[in-house]
Amino acid sequence: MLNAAMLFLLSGIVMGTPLLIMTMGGVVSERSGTLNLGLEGTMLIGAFFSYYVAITTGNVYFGLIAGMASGIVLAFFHGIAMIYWNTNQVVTAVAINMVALGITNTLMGKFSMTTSAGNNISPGFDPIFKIYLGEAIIGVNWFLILAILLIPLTWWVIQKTTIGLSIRAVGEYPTAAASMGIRVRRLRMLCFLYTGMISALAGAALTIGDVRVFINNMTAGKGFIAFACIVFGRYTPLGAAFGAIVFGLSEAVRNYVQIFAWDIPGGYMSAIMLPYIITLLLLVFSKQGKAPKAWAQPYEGDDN
Amino acid sequence: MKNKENIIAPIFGLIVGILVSSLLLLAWGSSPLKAFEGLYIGSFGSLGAISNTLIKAIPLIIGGLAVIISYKSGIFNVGVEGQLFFGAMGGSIIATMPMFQGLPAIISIPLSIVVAMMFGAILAFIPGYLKAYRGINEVVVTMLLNYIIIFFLSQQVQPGGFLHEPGVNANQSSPVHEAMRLPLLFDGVLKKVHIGLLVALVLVAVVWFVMSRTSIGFKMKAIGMNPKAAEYAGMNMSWIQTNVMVVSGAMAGLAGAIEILGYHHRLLENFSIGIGYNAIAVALLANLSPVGVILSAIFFGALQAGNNTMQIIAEVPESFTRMVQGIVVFFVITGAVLPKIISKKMLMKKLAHEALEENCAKEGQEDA
Repeated sequence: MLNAAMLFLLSGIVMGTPLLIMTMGGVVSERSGTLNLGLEGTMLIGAFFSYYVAITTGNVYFGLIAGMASGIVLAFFHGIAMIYWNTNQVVTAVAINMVALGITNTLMGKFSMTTSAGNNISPGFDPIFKIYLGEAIIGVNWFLILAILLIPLTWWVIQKTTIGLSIRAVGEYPTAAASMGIRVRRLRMLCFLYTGMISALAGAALTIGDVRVFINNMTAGKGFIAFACIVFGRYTPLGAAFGAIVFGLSEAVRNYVQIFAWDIPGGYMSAIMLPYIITLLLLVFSKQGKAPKAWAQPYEGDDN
Repeated sequence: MKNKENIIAPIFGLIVGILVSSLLLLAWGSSPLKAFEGLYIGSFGSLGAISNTLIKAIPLIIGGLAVIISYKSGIFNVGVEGQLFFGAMGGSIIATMPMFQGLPAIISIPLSIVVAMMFGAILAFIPGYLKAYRGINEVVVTMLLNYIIIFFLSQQVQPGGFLHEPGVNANQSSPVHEAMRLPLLFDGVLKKVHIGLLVALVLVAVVWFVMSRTSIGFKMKAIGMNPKAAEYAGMNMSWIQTNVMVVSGAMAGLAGAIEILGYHHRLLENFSIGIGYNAIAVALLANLSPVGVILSAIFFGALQAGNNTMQIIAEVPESFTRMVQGIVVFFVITGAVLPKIISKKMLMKKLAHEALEENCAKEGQEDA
């Protein structure tokens, strides 16, 4: 029994790995005071380009680097408009997500016009160890280790270092931070680019780290779920990680339904809906108002 | 002056967006000219194509209006997608289930539409209430609900679901009762264009009137522009925002019912995936003007109608049009703020220059 519970928890953490990585990236830009709803787009584009470059060059590391670079590029356009030109933060993110969906669908469409169905498996990272769930095998690779390392690392950087202090300062009192000589917009932009890179890495964990194929819109709202986890976790790395693991567990339920043919009302489709419903409930019943004080407010002052 | 600004940003967005998309196509080894030729043939090249464009534009007009009223009131309805799907489900209960088959059309069509609007309104109430009274970001809630509803609809039209067509393997509902299909307009010329177009145009007039000529429209805009001032002036912001969201959801539900009764004639899995998001693009390209929505909905409707022809002629995947939409919207948003940024920069430069000149002049005087 204990063994079964451990197995369930472990498969939950494994299922939540991409989300765990993404929340650790997202926390940084949210703490610097920007509303980042573009996580979905950067994750999707990272998932695609890491897959695409890995399969065309045959080198999984090139894929990883290309994926992260594509996330930075998308976040750059998003950040320039939002942080430097003060466009509406929500609308800009919606547009960026649309662009990411359009570009990845189009390129994938072109790619599959030239590739036969059997040849679309990209190289990927080999599992370090495997979990046996009945007949099914779940491979665990170093993305999980990275995700687990990122939790204390992100906490330490935000809470204990000078750069973390600056990040919190521009998120809480940007005007005061500026008077201390911090360049608010530049620091927010750097945090934003970092988040873009990390969420693209999380996208890579979906493709070259897991299934090794790309499916149109395969992130399926994970960017918004990550955002919900961050809000639920009160904008702290530890809280957000907890949210991501809860999400992973609800995904694990879906796996169990599929593998062990658990009989739940509505069948497999209900199991697919479950993670979204649980995330929504987490959001509704979490305490609101813990956001950084200058969160989602554009910085109006001048930067030197 | 204000009108001028309203037109400049969308035109800037369109031109730059289309240029950037063309460059991307070139970089990927496809011919943009061929792609746009295909788009044109498929959307305006023949009467059938024009009829297709108009059909695609109908839900976009209604959805665009739903986005506009919410956005202008400071609450952003990104959930038109889910509300449209949920509304279509509600409408289909009346329109496809055997127990409602005998009703005369004069009762059953309005009934189906009202149920659809209620479904959309209920779904939109959730994010509206959570945003207005609990401060939970409406974008996240609506996005999560979109996914939940799309899966829920799939579940209900699959074998075992309550809307599934009995005895059929495909994921679909029974066909809409013959009597309940919406009447067609311009019969014989633009074949498939249905009366939903008129409904959409009437709705444009209603939204325009409410937003610009009534006190409730004024209150909505006041809340959207400056929530603190509006609250100080005694407006019940939370109540108004929740209700705006409900109305917006009802409009999305209406669009869903019209899609089912007028065009698809049966509820299908993923029958109109993406309309809700395209409606956001429509509203933003129209610069949130209810009348502008007609033009921008026809533009985006044309992009979708021309999809297939473009794919055949230019070998560009259908989703290219979605990319064009995103890029156009991005540049409409930036086009709206860039003039301010540039003029501010120029002002700063001018001020700095003047200060420098003044200083030099002073120093010159002192030297003398």
